[in-house]
Amino acid sequence: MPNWFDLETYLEPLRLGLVQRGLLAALIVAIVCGVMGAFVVVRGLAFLGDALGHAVFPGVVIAYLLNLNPLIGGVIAGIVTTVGISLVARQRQIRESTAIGIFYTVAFALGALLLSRSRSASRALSELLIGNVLAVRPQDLWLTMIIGGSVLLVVALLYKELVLISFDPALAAAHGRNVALLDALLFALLALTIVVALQTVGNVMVVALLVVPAATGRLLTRSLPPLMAWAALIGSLSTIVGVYVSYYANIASGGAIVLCACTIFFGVLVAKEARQRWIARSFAQ
Amino acid sequence: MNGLLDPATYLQPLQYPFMQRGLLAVVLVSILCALVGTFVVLRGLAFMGEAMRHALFAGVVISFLLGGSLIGGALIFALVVAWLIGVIGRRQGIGEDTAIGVFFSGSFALGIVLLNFAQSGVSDLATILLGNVLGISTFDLWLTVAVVALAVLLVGLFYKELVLVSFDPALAAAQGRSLLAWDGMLLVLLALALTTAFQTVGNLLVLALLLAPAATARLLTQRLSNMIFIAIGLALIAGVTGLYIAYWRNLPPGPTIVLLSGVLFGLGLLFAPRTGVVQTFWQRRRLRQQSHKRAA
Amino acid sequence: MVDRTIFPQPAATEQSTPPAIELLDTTVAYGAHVVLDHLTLTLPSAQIIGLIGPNGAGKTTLLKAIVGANRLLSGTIRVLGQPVQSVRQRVAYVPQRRDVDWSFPLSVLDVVLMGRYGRLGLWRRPSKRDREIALHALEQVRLSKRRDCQIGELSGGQQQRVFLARALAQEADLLLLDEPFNGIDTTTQTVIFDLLCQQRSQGHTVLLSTHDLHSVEQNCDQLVALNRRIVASGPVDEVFTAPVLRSTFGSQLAVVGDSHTLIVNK
Repeated sequence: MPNWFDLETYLEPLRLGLVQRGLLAALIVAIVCGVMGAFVVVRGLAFLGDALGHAVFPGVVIAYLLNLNPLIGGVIAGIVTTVGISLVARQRQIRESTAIGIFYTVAFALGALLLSRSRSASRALSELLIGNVLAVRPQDLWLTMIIGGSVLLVVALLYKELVLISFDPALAAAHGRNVALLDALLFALLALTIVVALQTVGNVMVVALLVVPAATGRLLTRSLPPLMAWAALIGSLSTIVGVYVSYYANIASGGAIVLCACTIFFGVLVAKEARQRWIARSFAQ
Repeated sequence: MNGLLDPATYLQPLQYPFMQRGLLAVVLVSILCALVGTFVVLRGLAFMGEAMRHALFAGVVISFLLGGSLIGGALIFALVVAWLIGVIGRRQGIGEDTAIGVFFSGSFALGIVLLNFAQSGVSDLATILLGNVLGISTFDLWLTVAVVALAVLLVGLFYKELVLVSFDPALAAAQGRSLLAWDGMLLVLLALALTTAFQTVGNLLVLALLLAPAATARLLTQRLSNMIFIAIGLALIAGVTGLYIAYWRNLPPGPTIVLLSGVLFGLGLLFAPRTGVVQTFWQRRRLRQQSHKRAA
Repeated sequence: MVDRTIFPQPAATEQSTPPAIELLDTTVAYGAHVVLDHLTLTLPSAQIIGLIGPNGAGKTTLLKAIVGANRLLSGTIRVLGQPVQSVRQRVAYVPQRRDVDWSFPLSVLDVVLMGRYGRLGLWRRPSKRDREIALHALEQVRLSKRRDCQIGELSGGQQQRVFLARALAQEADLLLLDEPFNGIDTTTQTVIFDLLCQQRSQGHTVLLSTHDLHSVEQNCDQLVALNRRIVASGPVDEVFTAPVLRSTFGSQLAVVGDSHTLIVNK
């Protein structure tokens, strides 16, 4: 066990190229997830985010089998899935959540079937499922920076439109905005974020990095820009802690990062609850 | 391989005991999932099911580490998480959707981290996540029989209450029915179905078995009592056909069954008699022609 | 020389202001389910017009069709004499209050500023002038003090006033309000009607849908009775009659005694 009070404990891993790369990639992912997560939380898209996390899987597998860049396959699969879900949810008898549940499982089954045809399947599968922040290659880092940066740029440029369609789509339509198109853009950004996050936290836990920091932010503030900032901050903090823990304890990095974010969430929740009780009591007296 | 019309094609695989057990398990799980899935679809509990299956994963790992019954541990953990979601989602105004998101990712991460400590393992991750119906033990099979019997009994006895809470929770509460109790029963049924289906199609895909047949049935009928039986029929078709295809083509059975359920759902969307895409298209066309005629 | 009183010419203003809304044989369907069935209707400008009808009569669908948010199966709609696509800036739409999520992390001022987004287009951000206009609109609905509150902290009536302020900030010529009086207090109702009358005196047109037949009779100039088709439309005293109401609301309505007492079963 390392000595947690020795500065060297924290500096030593940073001398390794793979930790530097991993940490940097994970921080970018945490910031992008914080910003996109704010939209996920205020619009109640947690299930869709979760589903997208699974649904990009067949795309990644197909790209892997065809020797293409997995990111491209993932994004295409993500967009196809969201379009499918929104088309099915137009049917009045089928709730959106039901459509989401069916779509992502079927997409995932497709990915699993395709993967079962390939030999190196099992290892690649578990890599995709739980991710490994310490396996980020230099070219992956570049791709993460470029995609993450573009997502943030698009959100910054179209911020007011994205808020408008999220809060009041009817008004947006009356203003002549193409709501379906802007929604599709938001979902495409979400798919990009998820695909970028695949490598660091893995397929199954992407949604955690989207939802948990932003939910914590929601407890802390009532306005959207600060919510995004809090989410990015909490995500980054969890990432740093998670990377160190997984370096020393040899634990799956995705799991460590997410557990850390959850601890912060519950800490804030309990503190808020306690504060409200305290205020209520001082009023009563 | 023999011709598709030859009974031997279907009987030959059944000479293997693993295939016999697998087929029986698929039939039982299909019935259970379609039955419970009908209420899950109507009450809109899909995301709750998603949360529960993640909690089940953590439950399995924890009870493996503690050396208890895997299924029992999984069930308890799933129910605790369901209860906490209800409590927290209501309290802090973060919305049930977000509360579910936080809980299931948290419990899944817990499972993944704990899995590190289980050196020699809860078999391997892929088996937990994708299932292996052909490896089901005789004990698990008996357990599945018991769970199906219990679910059928509960739904049979309390059909009217379950319908009421799924359709109109507010009215149910107004009539003095304890929402907590009946919703709770629905959640217990959900947890039972998920836990049982775990082995067949795996943790990652279990939701499809629950949702797809019931949703397809909903497209095909407007009546609840029909919906349950149609859902069971569709689940059996997807399950049994999927198992055979997997056997013949040497594919993993879980994903094959799920993909087939998805195909059935897609067919339902296209060709459902009242609401199918094809039907709607023709009706809209006819309407447009009529109104042009009237305008002329 | 022809005497003008004998051969009256249409007044100049009437000639230059086209009807606020014209529907010609308009049909709207969701899937194969017809919601609005061949509506033909002309509504004059500078009036407060009430849109009445039972639940499921298509009131919301009609308002959404007028702002161009619903695809038409057949027919045409002209707004302020032009296709709606070319006059979007001049039409303000106030959706039903329950259609949005009030726990959304936005301030009151943020929401009012949304009224300006139509003019801003995709890329531009609200300027200082936009903020001034929004603040003025908030003053008009008497909510300037609460501009930094999170919208969920407001009462139902205040939320409705925020929505109205948002429409005012758009500086539109035609205001469409969907059920503005659902679940609000009488103070808010008075504030809203005062503002709508002010709009009318500036030559703007107001079309509002409602269940509240009493306030409609009191405050509107014109009425449209809708139940999938137009049952009647015209000045209030022509439309607000027992036979019209009965055929609009059917069994949901009972007209008692001298037709002044109405019982609507929603």
